[in-house]
Amino acid sequence: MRYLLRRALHALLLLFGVSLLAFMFAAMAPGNYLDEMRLNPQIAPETISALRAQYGMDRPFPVRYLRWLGSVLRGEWGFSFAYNRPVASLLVVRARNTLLLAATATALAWLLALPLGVWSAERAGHWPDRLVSAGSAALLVIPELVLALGLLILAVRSGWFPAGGLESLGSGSLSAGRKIADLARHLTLPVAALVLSSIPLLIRHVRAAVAEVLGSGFLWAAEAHGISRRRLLWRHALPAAANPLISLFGFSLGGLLSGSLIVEVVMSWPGLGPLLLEAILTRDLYVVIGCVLLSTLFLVGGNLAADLLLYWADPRIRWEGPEP
Amino acid sequence: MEPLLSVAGLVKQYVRTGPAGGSRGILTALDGVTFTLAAGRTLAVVGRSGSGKSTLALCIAGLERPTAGSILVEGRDMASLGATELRALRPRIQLVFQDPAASLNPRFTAEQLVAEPLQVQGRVPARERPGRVRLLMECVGLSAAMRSRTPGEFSGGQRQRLAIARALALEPRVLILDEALSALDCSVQAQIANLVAELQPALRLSCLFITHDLRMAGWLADEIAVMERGRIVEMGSSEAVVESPQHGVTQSLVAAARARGAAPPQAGR
Amino acid sequence: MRPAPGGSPRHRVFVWLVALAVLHALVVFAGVISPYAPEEQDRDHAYAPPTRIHWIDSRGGFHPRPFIRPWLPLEGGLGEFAEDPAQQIPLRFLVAGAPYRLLGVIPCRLHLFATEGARISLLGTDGYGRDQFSRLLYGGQISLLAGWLAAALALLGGTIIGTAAGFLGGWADDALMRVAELFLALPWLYLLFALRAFLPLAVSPLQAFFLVVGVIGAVGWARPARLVRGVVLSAKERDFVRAARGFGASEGYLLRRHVLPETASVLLTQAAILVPQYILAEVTLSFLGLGVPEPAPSWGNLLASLQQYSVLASYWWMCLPAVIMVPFFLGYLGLASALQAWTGPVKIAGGGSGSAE
Repeated sequence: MRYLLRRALHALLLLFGVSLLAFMFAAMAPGNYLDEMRLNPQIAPETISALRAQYGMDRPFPVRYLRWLGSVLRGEWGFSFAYNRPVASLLVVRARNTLLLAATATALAWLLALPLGVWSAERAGHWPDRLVSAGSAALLVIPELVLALGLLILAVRSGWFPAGGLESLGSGSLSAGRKIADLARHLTLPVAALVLSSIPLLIRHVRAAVAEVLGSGFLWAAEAHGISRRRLLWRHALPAAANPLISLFGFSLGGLLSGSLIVEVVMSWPGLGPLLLEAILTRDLYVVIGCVLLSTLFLVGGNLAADLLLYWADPRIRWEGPEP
Repeated sequence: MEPLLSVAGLVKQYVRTGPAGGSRGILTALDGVTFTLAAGRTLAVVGRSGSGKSTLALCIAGLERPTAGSILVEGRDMASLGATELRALRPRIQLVFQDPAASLNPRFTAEQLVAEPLQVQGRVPARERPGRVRLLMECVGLSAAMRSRTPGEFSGGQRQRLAIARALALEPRVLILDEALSALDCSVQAQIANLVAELQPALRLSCLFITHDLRMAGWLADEIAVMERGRIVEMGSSEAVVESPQHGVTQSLVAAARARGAAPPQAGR
Repeated sequence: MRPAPGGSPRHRVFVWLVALAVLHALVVFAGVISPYAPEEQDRDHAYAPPTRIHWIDSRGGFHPRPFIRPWLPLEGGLGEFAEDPAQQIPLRFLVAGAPYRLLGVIPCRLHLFATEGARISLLGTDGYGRDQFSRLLYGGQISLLAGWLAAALALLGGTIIGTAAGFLGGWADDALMRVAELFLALPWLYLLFALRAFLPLAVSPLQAFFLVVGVIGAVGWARPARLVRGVVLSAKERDFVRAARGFGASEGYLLRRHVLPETASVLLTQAAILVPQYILAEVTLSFLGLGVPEPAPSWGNLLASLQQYSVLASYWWMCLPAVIMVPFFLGYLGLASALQAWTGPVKIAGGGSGSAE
């Protein structure tokens, strides 16, 4: 329990550090971004001076940071000058979409990587292993951007899948079942791009972890006792290989989030990625900070989930904590 | 006569760190070690692994700071010197490590290795160094023609000769051999031991011979100190310690030496 | 597991190096190989498909010297083209053409191939009628150089910080590694974008280039720093370092002569991993309009037009640059895994998260 508390505290400190880092970069940005906002006719001068006062734009860095921290605690996460509303209200919708995409892709990638990895570890050196290896090596060299573009071209040429977006026009009038089917159709391409780009590393690690367990010898004893090969692999080898894989799960989330940034923009999936890009181009800096912090939150959350899983899966950790 | 090296009440403690990063108690490697070494003499420190004898070697060579106690070299206390003064005193005491493959940088040539102490201390002008290196290599029985080889191209015994040549480059008064023979084959052990024994009177060198092998100690040293758990439990002349061991640890070491082979290597001193 | 030919690791490193050298030569000598300057426009032939190379004429006669037929805009067509059957323009090799500077210095006019009377575009043309083949080669110069420089910057920063942390130890080590952890905790593309966000957007291509290199390098130092620190920590305790300290070598000398050379193999492998990653980072930034802007060509802004639905749907040759980039990444991946096999295991994925300490 103490171990978990320590991990959680660590994660909290990390988030705090990241926010400070992001804020520091923002403070170093040349020019005052509110000045640019002043050119925007949609924002009244009174609003700007009110914001200026509220966020203490002319005040020193620590004051600004503290005010922003306060607005995070109030659930506002700063103010979007482009949208003229609190950042949090923007982030919630976008984060939900990104999470939907990332969670689906993660689940699918692991569901595919586990059997493929175990299969090729068991047949190490034979044709299934070589086939999987060659396939994953080929996928590994194709950059996410190229992969996403390729799939998009496929969609556009074939017309099988929508070329972007979250839902079809007028989907609001559809029945619940149709709505879900429509969403699934829109999810297919971005999820495919993410799965294809993240799966090679997962397969490699699963294969390596399982191969190490298979080579360690204790399974020979189990086999001698007449346990079936299939049961041996899934009930004995895989759980024994679980620890490094659970850590990998947390860490693979980071790669997936970075990947989803590109995929979302290319396939116009209304997640955090396009919001971040748009915020960068309009210099909406609180939104940028919000996006960065939220993506870190996801990553840290993923790692915490992995820790929790590890804690649950491996009784040794409850006593000692994982090896450093 | 004033002793060359005099160690008194030497204590070395390590703080053990647990996997969580916190301290998990204190490990006492040396617990009040006291002895003296006169010029030109050889003292063997014998003990089982973990008895603290290697920590002793590192402390005397100035590579570890003792927690308490004094190490007097020609009357100056190494334990209390600042970094700059310590560097000036270092050439007086040189250490030969157990594994020459690890103590010689594999990227260097033999010539660079032997010349390195001279270069670092800036004692010998650069143009005189090749001659000095040749002399040192011949001194330990290596042909000067081998000077452009890297450590990987030497045999184990040759590597240890090279390490000794390097240790002698600064003309030390005390040579510490920290298990310097243990990693070598039996016949090579004898060769290196003979080499040290031959060099000693010529260079007026004192030797601190650290080993777990009582047989080798009795054969090479004037005096033997037996260590156990960071303390010297028995000390005396070689003959006395080997012939009539008093302490239980010494007795078991004698038995171990007998079991390894009663006959001492060819060509005694 | 590795997409590599057989043989010893050393041999494989060599093979991949040769393959990469050939690929890079195409880009380095872009001036010679490409027929046109990358900014040269031909508005009459916007979005023209790749020029076809012919050996056989309409009467069935064989020509040892290949020829092309110019693209004619179709009457009433929406920017579509057809070959002009009346014309045969022979390909000429090693001829003088548009001036350029070889390696950025030597003024030169020699081109590997050219045509007279009509333009040849092996990979088609873009919306301004610019030759995609020339833009791809010249764009490679910018993208590859950006990747190399950014990797050099990240490795330099990582080496300095990692060495300082490992060698000084104590609170300096703690502080530096905490900061590194911060950088590693973020999804790195988000970090890259955020840092780019806080820098000016409207800048000249040259400024943008250095901005991109600086940003990627500034984001990337943490991982090499951690690896270098590990190597320095273990090297510090090696016997040969202790031996050198034992004969009175100063800390600076130990660092220079004994500790830093130990980091070479790790840095080499890291370079092979980071260079393609950073090339891709530049491509991504430029693709999204945050990197090197038009009219300078870069692999990223070459692909940027694919963000328009009409281009994606109608002009298939605009995707060719993406396909041609892949061998470069294959080369670096092969080199990295061969280097790893040669110099001993270093985790390919690296410590990516705060929990993987």
